[in-house]
Formats: sequence, structure tokens, C-alpha cells
Amino acid sequence: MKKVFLWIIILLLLPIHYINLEKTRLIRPLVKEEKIFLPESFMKIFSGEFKGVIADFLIINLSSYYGGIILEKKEAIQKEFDYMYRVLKIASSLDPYYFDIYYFTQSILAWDARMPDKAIEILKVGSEKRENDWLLPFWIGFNYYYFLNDRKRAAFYFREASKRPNASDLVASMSIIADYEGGETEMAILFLEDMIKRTDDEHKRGKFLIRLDALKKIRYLEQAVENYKRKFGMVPKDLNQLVSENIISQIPDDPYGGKFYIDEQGGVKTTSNLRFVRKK
Amino acid sequence: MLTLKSKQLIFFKVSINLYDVKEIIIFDKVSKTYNLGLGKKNIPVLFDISFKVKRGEIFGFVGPNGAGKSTTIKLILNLIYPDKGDVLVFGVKPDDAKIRKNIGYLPEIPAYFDYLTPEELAWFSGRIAGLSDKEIRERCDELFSRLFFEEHRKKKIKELSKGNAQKAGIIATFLARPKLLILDEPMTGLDPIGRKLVSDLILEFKDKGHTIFLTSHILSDVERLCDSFAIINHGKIKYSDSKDNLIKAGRNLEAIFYEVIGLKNNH
Amino acid sequence: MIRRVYPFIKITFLEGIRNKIASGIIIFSLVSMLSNVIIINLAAQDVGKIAIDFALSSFSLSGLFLILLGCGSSLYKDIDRKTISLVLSKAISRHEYILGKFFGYLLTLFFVLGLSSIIGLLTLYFIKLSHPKHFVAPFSGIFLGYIFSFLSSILILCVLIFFSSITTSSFTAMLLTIMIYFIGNSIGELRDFAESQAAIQAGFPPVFKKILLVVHFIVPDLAKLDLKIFSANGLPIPHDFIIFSVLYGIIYCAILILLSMKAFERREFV
Repeated sequence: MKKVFLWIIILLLLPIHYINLEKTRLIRPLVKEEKIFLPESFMKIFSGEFKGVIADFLIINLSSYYGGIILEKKEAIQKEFDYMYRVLKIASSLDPYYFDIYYFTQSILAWDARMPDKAIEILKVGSEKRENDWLLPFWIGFNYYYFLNDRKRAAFYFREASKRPNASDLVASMSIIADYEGGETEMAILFLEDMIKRTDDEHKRGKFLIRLDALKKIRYLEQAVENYKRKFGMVPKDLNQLVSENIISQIPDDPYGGKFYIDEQGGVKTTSNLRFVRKK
Repeated sequence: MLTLKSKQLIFFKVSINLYDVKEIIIFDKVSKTYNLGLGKKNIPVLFDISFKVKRGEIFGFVGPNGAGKSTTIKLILNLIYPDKGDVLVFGVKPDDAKIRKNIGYLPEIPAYFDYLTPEELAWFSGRIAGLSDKEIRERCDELFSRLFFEEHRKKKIKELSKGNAQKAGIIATFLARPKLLILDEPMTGLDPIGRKLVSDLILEFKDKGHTIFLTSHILSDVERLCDSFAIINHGKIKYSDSKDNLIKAGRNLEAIFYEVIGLKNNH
Repeated sequence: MIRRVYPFIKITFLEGIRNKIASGIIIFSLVSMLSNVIIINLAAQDVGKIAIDFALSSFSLSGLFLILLGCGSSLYKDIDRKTISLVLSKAISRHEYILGKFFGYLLTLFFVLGLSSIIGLLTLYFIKLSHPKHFVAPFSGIFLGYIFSFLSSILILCVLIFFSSITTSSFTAMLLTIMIYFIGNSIGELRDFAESQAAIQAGFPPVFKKILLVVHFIVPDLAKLDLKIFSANGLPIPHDFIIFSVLYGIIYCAILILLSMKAFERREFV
């Protein structure tokens, strides 16, 4: 009896332990883990010989952090983007050769957060260190072109990208497009198609495909507006005019849930600004 | 330049005189104070110690705990250096490692290599003393069976009892058959059979002409085994004589010991 | 000389590998490589980079643990439990003692870390086979990363032996070694920082630069022997960098061992 007694207690405690475990998991208040970091130079000094592996964990953490936000509410807020920028910056100073840092920089900071300046700042570090990688100067160029409308700088980085080994044919196309007005959408489509080609992550791929879909619709509408201008010599008042003049059969839906419209300059925009419209 | 010369001289002496000296160990007015580092008190341990251990005898060195026995042994082994006076082993200063080929030391606490087996410990001791693997194996066979220790030969020392670890140390010490054996409490932890076996071993080595320096708390053992004694207390030699004189005077070591350390009335 | 020290080297080695810490390190390698296989699934693109970083970092940690715990505890027994008097009472000189300890531990490191690196390399090979597209770093660079990490372990070992030879407690020696490990890994960066524009703007007094130069000269620059970033990102490693780093490591070890021998010469073992 004595021998089994302790075992019985242990066995009784096990299910209680399990219940506690699950319970605490459910009722735990959701804390977004935003760690406080030292400035980059100090992080670099204190990481010792584990700079590489710390950068890895920062990035893995970042991807699960952002993934959690996306699952929860689809879009991150500015404060969260600022936090991610800081993480990416520290990671890039710990291991500037690490490709994933720039991959996230481009997809999160440039595209989702619309912080092209910050993205470019980090990408420049990578472009300098990863000197045989054409993608990074290409992304810098793209950000200058598409987000900042700085054609001169964009052209400079596209040229830099095209000089590097194995540069995609895309870069050549880019330099051509950079020469004429209104090529932003075309450029973005080419760019996204390339991103989709190199993505394994199904979730990201899905996101890219939605964006591609929206951009293709914008291009479709832009071409319609061009046709209208050629026909009537003026910019249509709104998109409905395109339908009523039989240039297009109907206005496509914005996959982000917004509405397409024509702005003062006669460009096609959408109220969603290519981000998911938050349902309030 | 001077040190180089004296080293050469020592080497010369070692090669010529090692086996001829009459007095294997000589302590001539040796004093030693431990300096335990910054901010700590200096502890004097030995004061003007003088004694001689003659070739081929068993010399018993007895005294209460903390009297200076271990310090004396460390001086012989060159683990520490005298402040004053001279220590001569085989007629030379013991600072050349080569002379220790002829010394076998059995420490008081068996702080051996935990993960070695008694056999490997013996091999280590034998190889350092210059024996071949074959000689070591033969002597191991002999000693292990003599001490009824065969069953523990390949166990790790860590797994042995205190007495058995002591036996492993004894085998390793005797295996090399050194000219001078320094045995610090060789009987500690041994059972009566073990003590008998080790006593026999010690006496046999004496008969073969080896010199033995022995410390022990067991005064009866010392009296039975040793040819001469010294009693040390508070860092000073209080008494030293040969067994023959003791017998002639009709006294026994135990009585003298208590007298010397001042416990006469209680006894 | 080596012939005379050989028995001592051998028993030091046997003590080293039979120690529980040695088997603990092997288990640590196995567990960390198993977790490596899981962790890489979290990578966005650069699977190989993370796998190599993780493998090399856990290898470095293995070396550090083995030296601090394995060799450290063995030195503890030697000095604090006075096993050393048993060795020095034999025909082994003080110099030979240091050499024997060094080579004995070196063999131990070689054996245990060798096994650990085989486990790591096999895991990386497996990962490369399963993710060929995202594992571009060449194995030559990875191999070199392992060798350099091993060299850096030897350097730490020499630091431990040196401190053991000048301090009377092995605990102090271990603490000092850990300190040197941290300083050694960041001193290069620290000096770079002190000489950068940012530091000048932050108002670092110029005398810091001189102090850091002195510290840099004295403590080992372990970052010189750290190729993890190169190996993991598959970057080419300049040949002259390899040659000078290896030379730097060897010379530094030699100086430390010689100093230890010198410090041991007249030391008393109370």
C-alpha cells in the first residue's frame, strides 16, 4: 500500500496539472511581446559570438509577431510597424548578410507599413554587404520609384541591380518603364509577379496574389481612362462614365474591399489604398 | 649563470651519488612559514627541524594533527620550499624531477583520479617511473593478487570504498619499487587483513633495501614496523631515537608520545 | 619530453572523456541538432543560414561548457583536492605538468567536440538535402567555421590553464575565464565603436581609445576566430584572413602556455 500511495498521488496530480496548463493558456491576457532593445551598437557588442543566431531569432520572432497581428486583425498599427522597424534594424546590424531581414523589410516596411524611407535605410545596409545580390538594390530602386516617385534615384539603383550577377530580366524591363509616365502600376505588377515566383509561404503568396489582382484591375482601369481620353480628349469625371460610354462593361471590385476612383490628376486610385479596409 | 652551474652540479651528483648516500633524507635546521597570500596572516609551521633518515630503514614520523607532518612531506617532494635550512633527498636538493623517479608517495587522502581504474593508476605510476608495459603487467598481477584486489582491478576508483581506494594507491606506489617510499597514513581505512598485508609489504621492501618514511596515528603499528622514530609537535622535533635504544631503555613509544606532547598526567 | 609526459597526457584524456560532462555535451549536441531540424521550419527563406548559425553556435557553446565544466572541474580536483601533489611527487617537472594538462585536455576537446561536430555536420547535410533551394552555403565554409570554433575553444582552454596557474582557487580561475570570454568576444566591436563617429559624437573621451587598445592587446580577440557569419551566409573567406587568424590564435595560446609554465615553476602547493 505504502509503495503505491505516492504513485496514486502523482497520478492524481497529473490531470490537474494538465487542466491548469490548458486553462492558463486560454485565460492568459494577450501580451504582444515587444521587447526593449539596446541601441544597435550595444547589441552588437554584447551579442559576442552569437550575433548570427540572435539575428535569426529576432527575425523568427518578428515573423511570428507579425503573423499573430495579421491573424488577429489583418493589419498592424503604426506603433507595431515602428517596433518591427527597430527589430529589423538591429538584426541588420547584427548580421548584415542575412537575406531574410531584407525580405521582411521589403514586404512589411515597404509594402504593408508604407514606410519606404525606413525600408530603404535598412535595404541599403544589405545592398552594400550582400554585394552579389541584385535583389536588394532592385528593391531600393523600386521603393524610390513606386512609393517615393523619385525616378532619378530609382534609375540609379536599377542600374546598380542590373550590373550584379544573375540579375533578372525584370530589371531591364524596369529601366524601360522608368522612362515613361504612369508606369507605376506596370512596374508594380512585374515586381509582384517576381515576388510570387520566389515565395514558398502559402500565406504570403496569397497576400501577393490579392495585391496582384488589385493592381491588374487598376491597370485595366488606367487603360480604359487612356482610351476615354483618346476618344473624348478629356479625363472622365468618374469611373461610371467609362461604363456608360461602353469603354468597359463594369467597374471591377477592389479585392481589399475599397472602391476605385479617379483622382484630380486623372490617375486610378482606390479608397482601400491597397490595404484591407478595417471593419469597424 | 649561477643557477645553471648549480643545476649542472646537481645533475652530476644525481648520476654519481644517488645509490651511495648513507642518509636518504636530511633535514638540516629547516624552517617553513606559510604565506597564504595578500591580507592573510603568515602561518609558521616548522621551526629548525633536523633529522636524518638512513638508507634501508623504516622511519616513523609521528605527531598530533597539525603538527607539521604533511609540511615535512611536501618539503621532501619539492611541493613547497624551505625558508631556512636545507632539505636533501638522496644527498641533493629535491628540485630536479628526475630524482623523484626513485620516490614513491602515497598521499594521506586518496584524492586520486576518480574516473581511472586501479590498474590504470598503477600503469601511470609505472610508466612515469620508466617501466615497460610488460613489466607493469607482471607486477600488477603480483600486487593485485597479493592484496586480494583482483576483483576491483577494472572498476573506477570513484566506485570504490575508502579503504579500497587506499589499496589502489598502495599498489600504484609500490609497483614502481622506488628506492624511497613516503607513506602518509598508509593504514587509514584498511581493515585488519589489509593492515596485515600492507605491513608485510612494507617489511618486505625494507628487507630488499628500500628506505621507508612513514607517518601514522596508529602508534602500535609504528613501533612494530619502524627502526627509528621522530615525534613532532607544534612544528618542532620533540624526540627522536632508534628502536634499539628504546628497547634498551625499556620504554615504549606510546608512553613517550604522550609525555612529549604533554598528556602524561592524564594517561 | 613528450615520451615522458605521454602517460600523464593519457590519464588526463581518460579522466576528461569518462567525465559525465563529456557525455552530457554529446547529448546536448544531439538535442540541439534535433531542435535545429524543427527550428528551420520557422525560417522565411534562408533555411540554410539559420541551420548553420544554430549548429555552429551550439558547437561553440559545447566547447565553452566542456572547458568550463569539464576541464574546470578537473583542475578543481587537481588544485583544491590536491591530486596535483600525487602527480608532482612523480618524475614530472612543473613544466611537464602544464604541458601534460594542456595536451590531455586538447585531446579531450578534440574527441568530444569532434563527435559533436560530426553530429552537427550530418544534421546540416540532411537539412541541405531536404531544402536544396534555400541552402546555398558551401560545406567548405561550414567546415572551416567548425575548425575556427574549435581553435577558439583551445584559446579559452589556454586562458583557463593560465588562470589556474596563477590563482590558488579554481573557482577564481573559472570566473576570470568567463570574464575573458565575454571581453574577448566583444573587444573588437568595442574598439570599432570607440573609434567610430557615433562614439565621438556621444562624447567618449579619447583616452578610452588608448585603454581599449591596451585591453585588445592583452585579452584574446575571440571574434577573430569566429567565422559563423561567413559560414552561415556562404560568404567567401579571404585566405590571408584565415592564415593570420590561425597564426594569431596559435601564438596567443603559445604565449599563455609559456606564461603558465613560468608561473608554475616556483609555485608552492600548500
